[in-house]
Amino acid sequence: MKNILPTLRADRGWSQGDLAERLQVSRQTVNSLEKGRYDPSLPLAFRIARLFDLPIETIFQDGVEI
Amino acid sequence: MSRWSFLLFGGDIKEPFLRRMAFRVSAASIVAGFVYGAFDVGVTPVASGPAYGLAAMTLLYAAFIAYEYFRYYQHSDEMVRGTLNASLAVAGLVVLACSGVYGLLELLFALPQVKMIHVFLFAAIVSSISWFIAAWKNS
Repeated sequence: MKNILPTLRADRGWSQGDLAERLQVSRQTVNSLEKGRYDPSLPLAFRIARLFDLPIETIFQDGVEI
Repeated sequence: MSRWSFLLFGGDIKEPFLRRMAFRVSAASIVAGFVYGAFDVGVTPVASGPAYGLAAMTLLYAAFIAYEYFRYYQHSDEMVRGTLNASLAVAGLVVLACSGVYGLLELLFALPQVKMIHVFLFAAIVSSISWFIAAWKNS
């Protein structure tokens, strides 16, 4: 799943470690999320959305057209 | 933390918790390997002192690994837990399937008993490969 996490993080000047700390996950998880190798659980997706104050679908795109 | 650190150690090896766990598990596995290698259960009568001793050691070793696994699981986030679960499921299925095939072959062709050191090494290699694949896929 594609996402704009690297951009959002860079806009705030946070490192992957900073974001990981705010989300209470490991830096490896943030790295995997940003590279699209790992899809977050719904609770984690909500935490990310709340942190950046954006809707989940703005941050994550599954590439499926309806 | 690099991807290789995650693949090889399950996380950032700079963390004291992970370093301690890696040391303890490695040390226990080396001791178990040497003991299995020294006492050949494959040709040891089942109802004998060495066999009972090795069975007791296997139980202790399994309990220790389960405890370490539990502690690692508790310290992990959702991605690492998912990786652990996937890796354990695959490793468990492979070992179970191989046990079944071996049991069947032994029944049909009266194969010699497998030495414990071989079973131990096989399980360790299968678990490692399984973890490596799951971690590679997720990280």
